[in-house]
Amino acid sequence: MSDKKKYIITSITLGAIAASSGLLIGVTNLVTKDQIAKNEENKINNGIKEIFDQNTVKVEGFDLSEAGITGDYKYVEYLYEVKDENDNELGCAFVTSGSNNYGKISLIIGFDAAEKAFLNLSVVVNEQTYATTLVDNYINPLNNGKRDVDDVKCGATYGAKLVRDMIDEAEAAVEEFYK
Amino acid sequence: MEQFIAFLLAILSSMLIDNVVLSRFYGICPFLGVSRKTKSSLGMGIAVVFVIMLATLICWPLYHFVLVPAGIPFMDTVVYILVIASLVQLVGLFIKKYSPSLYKSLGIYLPLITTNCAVLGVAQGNTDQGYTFLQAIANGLGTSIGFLLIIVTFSCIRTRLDSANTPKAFKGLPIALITAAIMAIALMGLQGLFSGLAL
Amino acid sequence: MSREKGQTKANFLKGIFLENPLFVSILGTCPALATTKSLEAAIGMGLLFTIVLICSNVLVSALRKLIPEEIRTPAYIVIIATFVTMVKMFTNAFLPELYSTLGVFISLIVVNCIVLGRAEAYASKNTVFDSFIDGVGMGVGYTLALMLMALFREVIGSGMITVGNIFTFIPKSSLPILKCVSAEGDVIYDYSISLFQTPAGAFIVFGLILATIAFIQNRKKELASYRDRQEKIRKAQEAKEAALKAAQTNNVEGGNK
Repeated sequence: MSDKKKYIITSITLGAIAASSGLLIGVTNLVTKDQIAKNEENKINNGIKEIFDQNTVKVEGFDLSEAGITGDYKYVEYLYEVKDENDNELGCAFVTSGSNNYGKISLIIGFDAAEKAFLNLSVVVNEQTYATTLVDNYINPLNNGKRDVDDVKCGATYGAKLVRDMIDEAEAAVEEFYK
Repeated sequence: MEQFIAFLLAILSSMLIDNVVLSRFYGICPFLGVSRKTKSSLGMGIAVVFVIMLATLICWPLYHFVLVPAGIPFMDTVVYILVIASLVQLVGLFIKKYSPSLYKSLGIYLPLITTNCAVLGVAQGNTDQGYTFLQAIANGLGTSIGFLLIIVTFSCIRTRLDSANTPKAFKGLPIALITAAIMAIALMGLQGLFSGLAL
Repeated sequence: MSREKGQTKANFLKGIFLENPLFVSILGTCPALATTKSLEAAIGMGLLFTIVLICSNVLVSALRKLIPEEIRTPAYIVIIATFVTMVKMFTNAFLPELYSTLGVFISLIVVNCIVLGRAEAYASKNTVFDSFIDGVGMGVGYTLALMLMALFREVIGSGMITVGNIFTFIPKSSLPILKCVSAEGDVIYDYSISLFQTPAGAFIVFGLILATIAFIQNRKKELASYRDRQEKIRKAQEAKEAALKAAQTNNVEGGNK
């Protein structure tokens, strides 16, 4: 076998393997895409239910521009208007995500409709290195009203700082939304 | 200035507090396998720094400017591992041509780097965690220098352990692992070191 | 036929005991330390790992005559990375809790030395069936090793074994061992050592398990060498006695003459 022929066979084999790999992954993506999107939606729905302490909620999602929020926001991504089963307005919830050098955090931050005040937050994604420290020492006490938002020294200070920044931003956004 | 300080802090924290080997568990195989002698661990560490930095500089733009616009972000793992494998080959060839003496000391570690979790872990983490390019560079730099630091320190301890009077069952790897545990506890003490600056 | 059956069994069992990838070959240590905080995570990791290993072993072995020698490693890496990506997507779709717990360590199966090592050392030289059995054996061996580590870490570190957090189809329940919490949430007793949940605890548990294995092996070796020595002494004694006896009879015979 000449060298040239050998090279051609080698590259054809490698190309065939790469092509079939791409094809397989593409097919898998098509099969699983809907389910993954559904999981995410479920997660957000459950988070909103948790925040507003309801068994069933009706949510309506908006892009920021649709909701008339025009400010320059770094973390806030999406807005849900939340109503209970009898169509009483409960408030709104922001989906925020951001990352620092310890990893990514994605949160749902809920605001009360009547007082326009910060209610609770629910964690969607927490890939921080000190994820459990952050939840135990900052997020849970915050939700129980045992900790101030600005009190970020908790053993996972960078994460807490990121969460605080997200809440601050969401507060600014909610003001703009109800204006 | 503030940006620069944040960049430095990011490097320091992913180097010490969030150390790649002792807290994130990447690259345990070379950590245990190539740490018998200080010289070889230094060679391995430098080679890893080099490859991680190159991989960061290539994989992050590749993801954001090629894979995402093409609509195939899910191909990331396959692309990254191919980039890393070919990088390792290229770096090997390059060093072999221009500095045979360096190749002599680093060459044997290069194939091992392809299967070092730290390299793929950094490349994957940079895009999974949604880092900016600057954050990605800080992450790569901090992680790789952290690896170099720990593997060299560990090898110094191990050379002394060889002559120590350890119980027979603990000779070799078991006592090395216990040592690594003590090092991990020491690094745990640094947790919150920069919390004052973070405010 | 029966011999072949025995061989298959040995092929399967070697991955669990004699050539256990984690405790004997010391490969695949990164996930072993990172994902063994809880028993469920360890089982999940082992499961995903086993699936990838079996698939890559079977495919590599099926293609072993087609892939030219020069591009073996890159071809194997692409094959493994493909299976890992597929497994990752299916996990994200159907076991989202497992996906978020293991995080980047699912992607890192690509660079797990065991998978590439088995492809290079075994699957590229053996038949599809043998490679399949080898993959199953190695996968089960690795999973059992992870479970052993996770058992120690979860029991000592958190004081109780909890199921249902990751495999959500199982009702959530926990078995109190070192820590007991009443239904109202009051801690009744708590003897857990949380160090074992931290990275340092992972190193300690791994080190202690390896030391125990080394201890058992050393003891076996020493017992064997002791028996050997005894046997030698006994044989030497016997030979001496026989020689003495022979000499005596010779003497007696000689005396008679």
